[in-house]
Amino acid sequence: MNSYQLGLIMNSCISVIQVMGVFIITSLAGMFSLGQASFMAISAYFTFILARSLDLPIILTAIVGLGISALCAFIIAIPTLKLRKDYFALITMGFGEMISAIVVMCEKYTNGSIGYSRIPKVEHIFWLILAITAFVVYFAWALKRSRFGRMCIALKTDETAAKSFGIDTYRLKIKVFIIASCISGLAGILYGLKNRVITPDGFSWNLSAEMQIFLFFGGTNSLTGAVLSAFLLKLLPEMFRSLELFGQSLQVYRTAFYCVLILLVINFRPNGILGEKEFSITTVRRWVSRLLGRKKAEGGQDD
Amino acid sequence: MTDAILSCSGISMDFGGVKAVDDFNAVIGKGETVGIIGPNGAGKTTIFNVFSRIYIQTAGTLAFNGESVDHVDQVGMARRGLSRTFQNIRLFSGLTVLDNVKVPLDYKGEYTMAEAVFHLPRRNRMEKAVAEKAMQTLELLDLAKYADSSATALPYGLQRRVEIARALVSEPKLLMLDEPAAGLNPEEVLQLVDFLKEIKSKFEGIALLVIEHRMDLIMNLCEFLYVQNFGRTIAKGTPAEIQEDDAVLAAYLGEENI
Ligand SMILES: Nc1ncnc2c1ncn2[C@@H]1O[C@H](COP(=O)(O)OP(=O)(O)OP(=O)(O)O)[C@@H](O)[C@H]1O
Ligand SMILES: [Mg+2]
Repeated sequence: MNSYQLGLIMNSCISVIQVMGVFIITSLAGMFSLGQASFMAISAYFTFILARSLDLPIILTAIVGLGISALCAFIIAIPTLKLRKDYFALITMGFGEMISAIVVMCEKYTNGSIGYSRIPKVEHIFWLILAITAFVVYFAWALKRSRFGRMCIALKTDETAAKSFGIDTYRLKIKVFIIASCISGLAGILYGLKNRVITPDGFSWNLSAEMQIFLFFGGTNSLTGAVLSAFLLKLLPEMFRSLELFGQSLQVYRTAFYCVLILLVINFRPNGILGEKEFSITTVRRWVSRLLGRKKAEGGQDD
Repeated sequence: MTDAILSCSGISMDFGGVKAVDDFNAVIGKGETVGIIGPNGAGKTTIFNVFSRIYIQTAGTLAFNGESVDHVDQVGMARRGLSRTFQNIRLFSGLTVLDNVKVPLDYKGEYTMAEAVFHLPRRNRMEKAVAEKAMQTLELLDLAKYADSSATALPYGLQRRVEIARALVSEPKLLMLDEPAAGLNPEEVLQLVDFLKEIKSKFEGIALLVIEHRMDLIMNLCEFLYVQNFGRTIAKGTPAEIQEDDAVLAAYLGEENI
């Protein structure tokens, strides 16, 4: 594989990590955050600026960067999660815009909208990103299958009922939001390490919305659906970059493409492609055997 | 009063001028089975909602297990041992029957998130214990074969039973059932009565508070009844006394009896 192809795979992996963050918030706990890109920005900027200015190893400053994302998530969550769900979506969106503005304002440290590029080079970045992606997916899977996953899904489907079984939904929501924001932060740091430059535009509202779209496309409650759609929807538009339509690269039509996709999904599969189902070896085997069965039947007709 | 599991005095609940409950007084002893009956809109469900702290009463006081619980919220009430079903079934739709029944045990699960993620021994042990307990409760309600079905895909009668299993699994001190027989056929109602009596013998000291329209069920099961109408208690007493009560006959048992 050449470095361009490796780059595409790394981008898709980072997209998977981002979507795991919103998976935990939206699919497990039923909240809707439109500001997860800002946590990517917070962790990435703190990690790289501290590493540079204090001359510390990335691994240390990354922990600080993630901690600051966690702290910000905690501070937003305390007042907001007492309110109705829609306020939470609004506040996170506002928070995202605020972070972008702060990055531009603190030009002295962040280099403003030109972008911060004093990012150290890391060896074996490809394998690092692959390993962390695998870990984050595993994390989300294990979380879903634990008592925390069950409590979250209970909270998502019926908060009043969940409370009447002793679940402290307020604290649970805060916990979930903090964990998800750390995962978003992790995606931000990896994004910086891979691209070697971070700009406030790169962490804009579009990105937060994109994560939700990918998640929604894969299935409202399907981990495997979310992973697949995050990976493929990131990858496919890039593959068509060289193709042209009306004299412009297909890449330009990406947003339009997403919109059409979403409209189709809403119409035909309101719970996303996989809905609540998980994608597993047995499902694949069933599909394949069904497909083969159909082929055989067709073959029979030919005779 | 130490042998009362729940007692309330002067409970009222206003919804912007509508007095859904007006000056309700009740004492439920440990291990007792008490019924609340009354026509539609009498305020029965509202009483449950106040007891489980979904609503905070506009007047009156409430005590649970000898402790004043006026300041306690829904979560605290559940953790003290009050459990309930809902009139309009409220199962968790994303979860299987078994997982629905595990949920009430989850808040007191002893493993941390890190243990959950790395599948450490304590997590596995606790998960196994929880699954066993939930399965036992399902067996008690004859639901074991539906353990892996999606809860909300089941027929109505079975969903009602899953609701009861979910309310029972945490071994509450007071179990409140809101119209458990609604939508059941006569045979299922008889099963339900038998089953509720079985619960009383299996879970020592559990008290039941049942809202019901079906007189056969309530008369068979309850030791004491409150009859509500327009938010007020129009009669209380043993089933035998209630059947003789003129006010009740007029208001509730229907004109055809008079
Ligand atoms: N949240 C609420 N807001 C406003 N009014 C309410 C609310 N909850 C209940 N009410 C009113 O309080 C009254 C009593 O309702 P409740 O549901 O307690 O009756 P019920 O005895 O359970 O009736 P049913 O047999 O139909 O279940 C009704 O008039 C209802 O409209
Ligand atoms: Mg009712």
